[in-house]
Amino acid sequence: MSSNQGISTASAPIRRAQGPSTSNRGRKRGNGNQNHHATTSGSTGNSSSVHPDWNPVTGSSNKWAGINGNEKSMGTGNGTDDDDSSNVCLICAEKLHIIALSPCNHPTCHKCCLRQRALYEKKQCLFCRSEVEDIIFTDKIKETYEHLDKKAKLEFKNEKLGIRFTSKNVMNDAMNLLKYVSPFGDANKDFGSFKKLNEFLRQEHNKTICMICAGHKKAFPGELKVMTVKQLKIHESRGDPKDGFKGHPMCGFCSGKRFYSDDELYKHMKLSHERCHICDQLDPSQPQYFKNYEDLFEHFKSAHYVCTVPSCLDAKFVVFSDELDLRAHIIKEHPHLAGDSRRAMTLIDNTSKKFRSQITTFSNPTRIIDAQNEESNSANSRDVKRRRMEQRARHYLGNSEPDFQSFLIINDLFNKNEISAQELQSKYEDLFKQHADDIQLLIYDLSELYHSTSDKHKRLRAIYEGIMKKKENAGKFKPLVADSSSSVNVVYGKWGKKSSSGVGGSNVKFTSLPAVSEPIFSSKASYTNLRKNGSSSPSSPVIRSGLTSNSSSSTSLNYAKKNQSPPGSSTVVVNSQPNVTAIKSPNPTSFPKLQATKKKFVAPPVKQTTIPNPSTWGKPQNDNDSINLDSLDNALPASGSKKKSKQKQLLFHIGI
Amino acid sequence: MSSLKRITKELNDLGRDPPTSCSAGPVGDDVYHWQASIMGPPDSPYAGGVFFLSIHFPTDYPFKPPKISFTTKIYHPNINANGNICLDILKDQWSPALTISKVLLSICSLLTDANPDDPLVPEIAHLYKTDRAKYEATAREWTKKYAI
Repeated sequence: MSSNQGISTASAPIRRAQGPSTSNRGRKRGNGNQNHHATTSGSTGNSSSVHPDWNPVTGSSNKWAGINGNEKSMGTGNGTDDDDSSNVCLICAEKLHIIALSPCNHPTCHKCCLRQRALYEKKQCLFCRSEVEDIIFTDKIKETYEHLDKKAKLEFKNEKLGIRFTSKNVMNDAMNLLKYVSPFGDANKDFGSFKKLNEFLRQEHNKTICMICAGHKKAFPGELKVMTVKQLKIHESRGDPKDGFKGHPMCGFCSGKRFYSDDELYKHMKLSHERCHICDQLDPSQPQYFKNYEDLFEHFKSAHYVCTVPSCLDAKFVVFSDELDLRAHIIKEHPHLAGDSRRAMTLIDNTSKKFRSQITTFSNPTRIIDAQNEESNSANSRDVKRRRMEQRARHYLGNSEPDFQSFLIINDLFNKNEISAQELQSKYEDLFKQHADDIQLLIYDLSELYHSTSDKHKRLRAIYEGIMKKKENAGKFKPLVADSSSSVNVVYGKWGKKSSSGVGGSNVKFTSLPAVSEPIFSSKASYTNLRKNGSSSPSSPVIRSGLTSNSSSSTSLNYAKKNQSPPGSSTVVVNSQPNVTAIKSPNPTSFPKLQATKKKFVAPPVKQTTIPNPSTWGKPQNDNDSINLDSLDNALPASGSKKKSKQKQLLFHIGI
Repeated sequence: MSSLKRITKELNDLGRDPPTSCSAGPVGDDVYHWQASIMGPPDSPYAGGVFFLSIHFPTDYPFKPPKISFTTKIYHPNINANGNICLDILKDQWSPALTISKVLLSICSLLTDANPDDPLVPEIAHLYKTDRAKYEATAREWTKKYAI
């Protein structure tokens, strides 16, 4: 219902705006169309009673306010169209009076169909683009093509257009649209062309139609406005904003020559004038046109690098954007010049010297334009950013207006410092249930609305970065957690990264460690250390999950082995877990657990070591994510020097 | 013939039944100049981005296609630095039965599936064909820089 209102309010004034010309014309043109209009508006006149709740004033939004105002001021409420969207032509959205039926079952109104077939001279269906040879026009808008094609005998037809009509009235209504008749009704004849009609109008009424529109608009003769000469000038230069028409653009080189639209002007410029292709490459948004090749060549000489060899001058367009290209061209195309290197050099030097200063002045402006664009972008950016955030929110909320309003309220509360950034986040999380994964983008968008030095910006940005970090880590570690052994490798990677210098001592220790399958207690001193220390270390799974707490409680192991021999070293790391387990209970029964290590050894450690991103190292903001580096630092040198007495810390890291 | 009626109808239809992942409406009082936005399709390197477009209706609409261009920079084989879109339905394959809503959805699918065989930016098309990963990385980077 709301849409109907919108249509009626918006469209009614348009019809009336055209009133003075069209209705006058129609009255004299003949009975057909105008009578038909009269009858249909009569028949639909009671549509207002069908829809008593119509309120032409309630437009869909404020932008219709002006139009609605017009309508009210124009008085009489005979807005009787658009009672039902099914009775509206899907192409022009006008109410159907005569319907054009096609074999492909894509009905349109008679005007759209006739415009396509007679004015655009295309027989394609407006919907499916299939070639349609036969169309049936009828005023019974519920009819179907099949039914009429089989049942009705259709004697009225237009062979040229491939249209059959169900009655003479229908044929007259339709075909009268194509007649060049005077809108003043004083010459009861078809002039046959816009030119003759225009001559008549000029002579008899001192009025004119726009001949540019006549040639290009594909409008029925009755649709063109009849204007005074003064009105025509306004029409050509400024157009009519109400119709979305901004005037006929003029060619700057051909004095006073106007074109129907920018498309036609563009074609003309392409055909009749010259465009600098070098400038196009530099800045495609600012095409540089020149009246003819002579002017263009002057521009080439002043702004670019022209090959001045006579054959190239004759060939035209032998011009380059920089000196190097010109040099390459000369060497390739004019080897006799290039062979005589001195002469070639003078040739180039002449050109380049001559134009260099101008080149700089030329290329500078483009840079300035870029800078301006950037500036204007940043100037607009707050507005753009706000729109972006709002669009994003609307989209995430599935275009739900109430939800969007509550989104705005949340932002407003934050803006007034009534809620903190954390509260904002949790409110977002409640609101955007469907897109909980994407709220950090909204937070980012919101942070952009505040100045980069403001407190709000920083707080929002901190939350955004926190979420992103979590996501990043989640993405990184999710697959690893699934693989029981690989988390250890991640630890290895982190340690190795930590200190390459302090690791030296332990390096020696661990490279010397034998293969996984060897019994641990046959191994070296480091193991005894482990054993001594065994008190706090629980079984291996716990180590993996509870490392941050454990790290301070000094389960000693410093595997800060560097990447020198990744497979070997990571093997050691893998070993470490069972070791710890074994230490905890010196009982030989723990040995079977060693077997588990073999399973873990299957993991490809080399590959895993590359996973940690160095960029994540510098920002150990998240407690969960960062290992206790200080304690590691302390532990490393100590362990390197005093192997036996010093406690070592076993640090594991797991991203959660 | 009045294109205004048709444009108004489209605007109402958009308001009543907004398409997923895009929106459109007049910029100011000028019903012939719209602004649209497209959410970067999730299965594309443009995911997460919000791309703005400008739409100009010709006075002969819908018999002539609307003029649509991106105002947000985007790295795509069929969209150039000016935001011009190389899409057949906006040119010779235009049909008066197409609506802004349908065209925007077509542009969405162009973002998911570029057409490197009919490129507007040959360099990007070449990269798209030869090093898809690099193309996607660049597109993602541009999305992050200009559309988020």
